[in-house]
Amino acid sequence: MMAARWCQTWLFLLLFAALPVSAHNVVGSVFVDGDLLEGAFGFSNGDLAPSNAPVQLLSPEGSVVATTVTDEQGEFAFRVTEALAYQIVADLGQGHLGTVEVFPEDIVLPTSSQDAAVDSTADILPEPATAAASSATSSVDTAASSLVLIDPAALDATVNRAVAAQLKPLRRDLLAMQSATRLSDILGGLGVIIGLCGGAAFWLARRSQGGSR
Amino acid sequence: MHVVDGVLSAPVLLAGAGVALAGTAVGLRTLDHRNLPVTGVLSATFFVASLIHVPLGPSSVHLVLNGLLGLLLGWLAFPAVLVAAALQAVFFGYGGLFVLGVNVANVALPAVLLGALLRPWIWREGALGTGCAFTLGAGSVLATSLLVALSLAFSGEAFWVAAKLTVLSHLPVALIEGFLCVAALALVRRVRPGFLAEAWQS
Repeated sequence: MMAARWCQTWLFLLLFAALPVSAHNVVGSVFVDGDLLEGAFGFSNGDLAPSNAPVQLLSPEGSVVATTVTDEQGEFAFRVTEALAYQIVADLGQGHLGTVEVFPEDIVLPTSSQDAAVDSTADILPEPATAAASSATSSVDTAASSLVLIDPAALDATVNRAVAAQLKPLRRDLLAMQSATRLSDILGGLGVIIGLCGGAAFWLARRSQGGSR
Repeated sequence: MHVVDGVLSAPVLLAGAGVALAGTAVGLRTLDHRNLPVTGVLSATFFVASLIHVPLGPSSVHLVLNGLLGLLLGWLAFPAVLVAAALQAVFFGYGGLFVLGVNVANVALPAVLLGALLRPWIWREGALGTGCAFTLGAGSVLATSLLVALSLAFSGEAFWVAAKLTVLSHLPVALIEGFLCVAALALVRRVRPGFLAEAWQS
């Protein structure tokens, strides 16, 4: 009894002294804020990705557009100059590879700095860009401009920042939900195994019947 | 233990698929109505075992249980692991369907070989049998982690870095599985003494 107790304590100590390991699948999410792609990677058990893990931004053709590393929260950020269907791949080591996809229609490139980019945003936005500010919010602004002059671009940026901040906890929750193992999955898997056994039993029974005839 | 899609190179994938296919074929030839239920139960156990996470420092590990499968099922460990790993890939997203062969081969092959190797001595009473059971449980996990490191090495990752990480991080799991194997075999010995002979008869 003493030996068993000692063994338990020892095992316990060993567990906590050992190296971190992560034999789980990688989950990730990305949030597009204008031309900024922000996101996070982590493991399905809720652990964050290790810091300084390499993250690559891949073009639809598969070439590397940019690289960065995760910060201590497992988060990364890219700024893009084109609205493409990017793929973001993180290598968390030991064969743990995570991939998230970016939808090009989510990317809104800054209109003021690049004239060439206006064309690509124009067919993304539901209405064609107006000469003034190229966004739907500009018509709202004209009503308010009698009181205060607001730069629509600055307003857009402020709104985007506020929304991004509000969405951050939601993204975390979504990531956690994605990675949670559902009971229905476990039961489904067990059901398939039982079914396969049943099928095999049927096949074996038929074979032995055929042999005895 | 599960390598995901997109990490391994094509030759490694093909080799793994080949080994898994051959092992499954050999295993299915030994399938009959006596060992079918235990195959199903152990396949289900393997399927669920990966969900039981043991907290380990800042992270966690899960049991593999391949030593037990190799001993009790012999070559049938291949189809049992194949089914369970395929379901894990589909339901939980562990591993993937392209690397299924490699994952199955990495898990089942060392278990089957070690099980066959230790079989003559493992049912002995006393220290020899216990030692064999421990070696089986711990050795299978370590051999599997070594194979995982090898698969990564053949796909470009530096072998010593990968091997050190996978083997070292699985040392505690290996220890736990060693003890688990000893306990499981003690139970089987008490409940159904003739079990192993039956399992390997065909």
